[in-house]
Amino acid sequence: MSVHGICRDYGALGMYGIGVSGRINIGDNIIEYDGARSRYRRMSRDGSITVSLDLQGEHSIVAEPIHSLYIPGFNTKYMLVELVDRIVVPPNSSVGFFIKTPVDLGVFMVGRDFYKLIDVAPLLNYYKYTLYGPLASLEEVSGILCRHWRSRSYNGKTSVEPGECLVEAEVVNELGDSIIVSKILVDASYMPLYYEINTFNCYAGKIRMVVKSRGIGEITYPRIQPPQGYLKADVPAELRPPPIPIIAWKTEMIWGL
Amino acid sequence: MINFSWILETVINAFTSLGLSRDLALRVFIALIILAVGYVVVKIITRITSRILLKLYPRQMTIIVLRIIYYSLLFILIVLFLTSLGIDVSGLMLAGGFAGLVVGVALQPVLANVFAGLYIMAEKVVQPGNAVEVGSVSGEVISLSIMFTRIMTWDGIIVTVPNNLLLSSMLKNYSKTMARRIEITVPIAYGEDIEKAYKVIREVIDKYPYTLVEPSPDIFVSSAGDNGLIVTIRAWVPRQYYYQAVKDLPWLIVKAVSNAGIEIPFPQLSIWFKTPLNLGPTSK
Repeated sequence: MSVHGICRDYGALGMYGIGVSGRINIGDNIIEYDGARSRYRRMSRDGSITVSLDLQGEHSIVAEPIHSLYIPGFNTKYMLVELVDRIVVPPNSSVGFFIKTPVDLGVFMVGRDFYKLIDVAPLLNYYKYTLYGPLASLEEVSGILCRHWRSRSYNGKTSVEPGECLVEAEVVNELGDSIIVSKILVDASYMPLYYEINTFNCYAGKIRMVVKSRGIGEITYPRIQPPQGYLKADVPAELRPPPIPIIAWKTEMIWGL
Repeated sequence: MINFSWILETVINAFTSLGLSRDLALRVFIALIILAVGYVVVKIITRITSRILLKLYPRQMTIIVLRIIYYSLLFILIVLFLTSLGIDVSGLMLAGGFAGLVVGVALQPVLANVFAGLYIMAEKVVQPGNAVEVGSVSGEVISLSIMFTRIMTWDGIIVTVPNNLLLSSMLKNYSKTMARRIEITVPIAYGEDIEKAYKVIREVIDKYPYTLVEPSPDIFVSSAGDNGLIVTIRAWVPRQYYYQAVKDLPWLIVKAVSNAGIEIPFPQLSIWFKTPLNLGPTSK
């Protein structure tokens, strides 16, 4: 069951990875691709056109999951996942669980040697942002604007609904005292998405939070094998990670856990 | 192997053939070497300094500081060159110092702006793209030079503010915070269900994508007005969407409250007559 509202009406049983052609219902939207005229359109149920694109050159249209950071516009690559049930981690121990992060449907134009995100169709009803940290940005370290999301924690792998993506999480408490974790800050550019073709199943890898001092955590993104049969989704330009070794891929939570 | 004494002798002979004494020819040769080596050293120092400064300060400020360093070093080099030729530069220095004093006093307002400009750039008080308010001028900083800061007001007028004035005035920089607070007041008629009004307004705020979850929005009855209860809504929005929220939210809230059947009162005045008022036709 989802914490936030999720669009319920889908014309296709599964969407990720399939080539778009004809008309497809996506929640409150209809996406339409007329291959003969190379015209892509997204419209709302009342018929008003939201996006209309004339696509030139040899290409195909593919729908894949994309981190829900593009609606109403791309402003941040960070997501703050607030845990519905706060997690208590005993001293000098670690706990593992699963959470869900928000995703939308990215529509890509794919050519022979390029791909381009041309539209993002919403799969959710909840698009809110939040501030993690202080308001002022006078100092070098300032607050971060984040996509806000609430998620339950799950003991094992669980099914996801359209608009959700499963993330494996581990919290390591290196303190001699127990800690309470209420939120997790993630950098979406370090979390590649994987999907099962022709389904809405999505997997966003693993995150590891290490707590070495009270109220401060360090999130790393260990590389693990995606489940069997899952494909890696294309990454839009805004979310491509910097070309540096994986060891540097980390996010600091210095404004409370 | 290079024979330096042969080169020296050849150059001195060349100078003496021009009519110079041997002593003067040696001095000219040494002075030219000082000038050549000195110029290379000045270039190297400027280049190293530029690399360091570019990492620390904005490009525009680095260029200005580099020019000051370059011309100062060049001045020192010329003094060395003239001294090595045997020219007494103490008088020139004295005259230069005096002239500098006169020019400094005359250009005091200009220099004040220059130093204010350097300070503004180094401290990043304002930067191009910032939304600012200086005195009665409010707009976006479009350029920043050593003397002036140019601000385009929200109605498209370019105002040139001297840097000295910018530094000495009360300056509001709206781009130095991650989010800004928007405040809206809505009157709700007496007798209406204020709890229902609260829920309707809360729904609008929660649904609107630009109002932040944290810092959390605040909705409360702030006063009992002349025509109804005044409900104040305070919500934080990312600074880049402030204007959008200013346009959207009041309209969305008023629409939602009206659609919920809650009356937003218009200004009205009730007049009570102390004695009964006869509005019927007067009898003759």
